[in-house]
Amino acid sequence: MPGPVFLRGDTVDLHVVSEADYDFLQRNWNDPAVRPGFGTATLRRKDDIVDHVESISESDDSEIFLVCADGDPVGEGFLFDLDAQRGRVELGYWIAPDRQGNGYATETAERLVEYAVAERRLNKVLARVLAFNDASRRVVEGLGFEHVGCLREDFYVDGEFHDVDLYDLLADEWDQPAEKSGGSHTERTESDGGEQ
Amino acid sequence: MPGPVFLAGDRVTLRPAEESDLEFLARNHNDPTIRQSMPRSYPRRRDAIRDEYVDWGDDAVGLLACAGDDPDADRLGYCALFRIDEDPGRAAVGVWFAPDAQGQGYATDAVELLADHAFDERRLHRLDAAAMATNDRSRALLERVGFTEEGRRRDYYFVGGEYVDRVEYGLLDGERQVE
Repeated sequence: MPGPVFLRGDTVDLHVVSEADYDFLQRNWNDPAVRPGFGTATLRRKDDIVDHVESISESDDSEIFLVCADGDPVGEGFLFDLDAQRGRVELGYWIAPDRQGNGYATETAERLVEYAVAERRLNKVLARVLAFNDASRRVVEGLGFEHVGCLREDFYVDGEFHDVDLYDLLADEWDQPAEKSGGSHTERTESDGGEQ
Repeated sequence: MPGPVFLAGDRVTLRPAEESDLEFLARNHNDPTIRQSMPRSYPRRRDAIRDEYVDWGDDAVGLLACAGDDPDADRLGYCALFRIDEDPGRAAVGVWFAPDAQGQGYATDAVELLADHAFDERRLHRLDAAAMATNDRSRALLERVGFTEEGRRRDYYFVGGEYVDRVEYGLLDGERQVE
């Protein structure tokens, strides 16, 4: 049973993480299909999940949400390295492999950008996308992020180094509330399955 | 000896308060003329002074005001941004100066430094301030800096045997008299 809803979307809601979600998080963080999107090889034990979620809950510079569709956990959305003085934060998300392809990642990212800009008064949202992660690239590009640079050979995945593309979106460029009231984001439903 | 300079104006420097400043802070915090302009109605011992003036938490920044940038500069008063809330971009500002340091523009200089710091360095959008309705000096100071009177809470304080209104002020980024 996920925690209470914090951000509401059309197809997914972003919930506060509860202890009941730890199994879901652990399964996916360890999932060989999810990990490459983050370029991590780290094994996560149950205690690691508990420590991570609790440290985020206590920190001022990050937020973590469980993404649920019809009440079922389907992924995670998070903000980290939040710097209120500079007005910036970095965005991350993943959707469980068997729930991808439904536009959940796009809506998760969209809710988090809206939250960062409209509730937290931030000026910039940054996203890093591993060069091979086309699904995630479509998510950020679909939301209007600009490609602003590349970190060469920044991650090591599946036997080789990979570049990371840097994207960002400025508050001035975010017109999501108006667009939302206009109705739909169906054109984005193909872009899913992304990680940060 | 006061700590290193953090903000420097024409007349005052603002510095972190240190253990060695506690005597000055405790003396003035308890001083009847200062107390009655704030107002504060109960005595404060050294530990409470340390908590309030030196060990403030994440949502505040408090600074000792000194005359000039000399390491041995005279201590003049204290000022602070508190209730800092970065989401709406808001903070409250408060200030007091020792009786013999009043009337010389020090407090105005200090509040202007805090406003510059709040808007230009901390990216805040609005400052709250309040003064007793009877405190002409504080109200003139706030208006000089550019604060707008926004409201009044009736009989908010009890000072010298009488109820006194509290006048609320606000200053938005872009409204400083001296930008």
